[in-house]
Amino acid sequence: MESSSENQQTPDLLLKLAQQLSPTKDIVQTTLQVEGKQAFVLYLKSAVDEIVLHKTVVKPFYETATLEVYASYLDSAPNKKELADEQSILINLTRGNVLVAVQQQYFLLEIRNVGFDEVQQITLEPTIHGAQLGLSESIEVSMNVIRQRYHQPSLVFDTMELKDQSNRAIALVYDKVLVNPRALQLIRKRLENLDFPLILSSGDLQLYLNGNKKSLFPSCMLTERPDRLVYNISSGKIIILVDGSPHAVIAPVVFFDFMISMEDMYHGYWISLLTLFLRYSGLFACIVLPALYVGVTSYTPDVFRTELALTVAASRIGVPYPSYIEVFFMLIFIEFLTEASIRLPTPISATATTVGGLILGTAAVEAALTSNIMIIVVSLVAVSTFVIPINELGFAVRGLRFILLLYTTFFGLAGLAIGLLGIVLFLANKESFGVAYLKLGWKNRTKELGTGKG
Amino acid sequence: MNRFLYYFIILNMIVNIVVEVPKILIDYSHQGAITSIIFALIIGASLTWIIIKLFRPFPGRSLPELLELYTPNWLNKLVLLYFSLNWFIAGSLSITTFTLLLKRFLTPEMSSYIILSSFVVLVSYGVLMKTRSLLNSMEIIMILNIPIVVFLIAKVYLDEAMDWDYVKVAMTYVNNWPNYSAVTAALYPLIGIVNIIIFNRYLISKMDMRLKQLFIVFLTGALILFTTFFIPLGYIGFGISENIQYPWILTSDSVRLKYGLIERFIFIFLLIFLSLSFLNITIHWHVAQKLFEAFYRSKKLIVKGKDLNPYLWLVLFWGITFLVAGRMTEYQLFLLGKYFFNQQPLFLIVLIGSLMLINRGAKKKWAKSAE
Repeated sequence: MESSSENQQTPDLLLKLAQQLSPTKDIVQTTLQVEGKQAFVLYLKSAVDEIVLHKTVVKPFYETATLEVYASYLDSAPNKKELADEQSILINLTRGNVLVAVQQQYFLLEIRNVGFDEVQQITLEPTIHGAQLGLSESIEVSMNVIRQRYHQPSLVFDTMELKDQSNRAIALVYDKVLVNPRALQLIRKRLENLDFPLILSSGDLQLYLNGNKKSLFPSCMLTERPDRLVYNISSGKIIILVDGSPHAVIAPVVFFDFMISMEDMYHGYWISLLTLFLRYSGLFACIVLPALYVGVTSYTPDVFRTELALTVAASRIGVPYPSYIEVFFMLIFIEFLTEASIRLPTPISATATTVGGLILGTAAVEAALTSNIMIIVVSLVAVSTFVIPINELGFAVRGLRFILLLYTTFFGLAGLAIGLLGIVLFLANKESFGVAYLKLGWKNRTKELGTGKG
Repeated sequence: MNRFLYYFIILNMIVNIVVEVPKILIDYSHQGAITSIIFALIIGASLTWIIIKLFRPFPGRSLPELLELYTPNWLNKLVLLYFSLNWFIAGSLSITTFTLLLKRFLTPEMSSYIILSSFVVLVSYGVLMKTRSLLNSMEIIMILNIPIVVFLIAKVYLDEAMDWDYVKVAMTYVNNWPNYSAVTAALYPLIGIVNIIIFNRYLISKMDMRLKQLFIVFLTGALILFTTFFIPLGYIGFGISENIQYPWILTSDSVRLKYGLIERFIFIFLLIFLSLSFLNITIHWHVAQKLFEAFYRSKKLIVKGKDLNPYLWLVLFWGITFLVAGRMTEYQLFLLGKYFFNQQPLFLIVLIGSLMLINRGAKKKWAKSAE
């Protein structure tokens, strides 16, 4: 530590700030001194890029003739920040700013050293075509990524600070011409009223923004794909970037957004229509199949043709408990498998799925604990869940099918039909930042459905 | 015409294909059912036209608001109570009908109370929903279901078991005078437009009806009434159908989907009509609840800034429905339905009368403010 605090001419502000920061050992408070010229520097070593500091602050000090010239040099630096009260200077110091004092003048220069500013590989929503690199954990780099893909003067970056303990920088990104003004206002208000002690990343920021923490379906979308971001900006949505998080939050979203993969844009009309159809039928299958199995085997076996009814009944010979227990058991089992393979490192997770899926499945059938058809249903459900392109919806659907299963267990096939309608009602009643979650977006439609009071 | 108005009209038409309406019409097949249908079609289409016309000057306003603005207080409350009872009974009848239907054909071992309670949670949710969300979900459910309904009806028309000779025999009774009960029964599917009295609040533009739209409504109505009356006759036989409580369900069970995943037509038929009825019930009770709320609203029930009035009405709705529907027989239900249909003209007269009063009151007010 090259501290020279005994210098009497060190300004009080610097001393005071240094004192408030102590006892951390990475404070650097130095005096630059030559031929009667003097300047004082205060920064945190762990947050500042010292090479840049040397080049832009230290070297010019020795090269400029007088202190006035040096001061005006600092004053015109592009990374100069506005000075506010002491508290905000302290926070800025922790963020990687350097405080320079020259002749009673103070300059705050941003010389951040961010160790995690590489653009990251896309892992969550891979596509064959389309961008392969996502956002970065550094907010500046992420902003750069967006700016370089959307060259419009109307693109706005509205940076602000979270008011929690982490004091992290966040940025609202939107196209000011296209943006939905009501949603923007709502998001601003929610961000201002955000009252949580610690926000760790965009994942939990999204939950807090939501307003209703207990909702099953997500009302914002997390993404790491810059092309998805640009696509959403151009359709008037608002992006929230959080410093230190490689995922951006998109709001407001509607249900159909979660069923779109960016790949759809890069294929021909028919291909993307087919994949979209596949996706929706996957969604339908993974919600309905378990409940349908219970409804058909326990309530109304005569719904399907006789041969199929007999096959199902035959495969259930020897299964000791009613169908709903079988389905619950197998569904929970498959949830275990999914959960285990997500959390484990890749080499081990392969073993887990093999042992769990293949060996246990076969053994369970041979031990007459479940029927063959149940195994088919459960694997179909598991596979079709992964057809849903956005993870959060996948999670919501995993919960949803248990509710539907419960409803069918109590009320039979009619319960299944009513339950499905209930899901539609529920989704249609949900709102994401003032936008209806589920509705058909037809031309002229909004005109016909006007606004009354309340 | 606004697409949501079409949804209301068509939903009400489709839902009423199944149970009471065809039964009543077939009962009168010897006594002027055909002329009754034609008569009802003319009345129904013109009523739709009149009601839309009368609502035109008030975009974004619901009937309770208008009544409060332009009519005397005592009349306003009376009319509201009468309307809300009507809507409540309409929803309640549909629930009871479907409870009995499900018990008879889908899950015979289940108690009526359990079948009823399968409706409770979700219908209540739908009733308490924001009106606009209900409109959105109605659109989605209709769009998903109507293609299947069209397929079902087309299949019924094209099946080999359909014997058109019976239809021709039934046609020969065209020279009878219309019968009052048959007219009201045939009129009921055609007046889906009346839901406008609450939903008008959210429907702004294109609230007019021209000749083309009138023609569309007339044509779909004719098609639906033709289907609901003649198809069961063709399957079951003219002169025999009167003895059957559920002519349409038996008809649907006569059709077999040879290569379908589900072989028996009746299951698809039941479940699709169950979905649409569910939607219709939710809409009826949503309207009923809004009307009741306009009729009486207790300040005591606003607890901690939360209005509990809607819950009060819902508890009442379900209490009555459980008491009545749990022990009702099919014959009693049928009779009740018939009485309900028979008092329909009164309902329509009150509706149009109050709308005309509102129009007059509004004109007076405008004239005053112009001075």
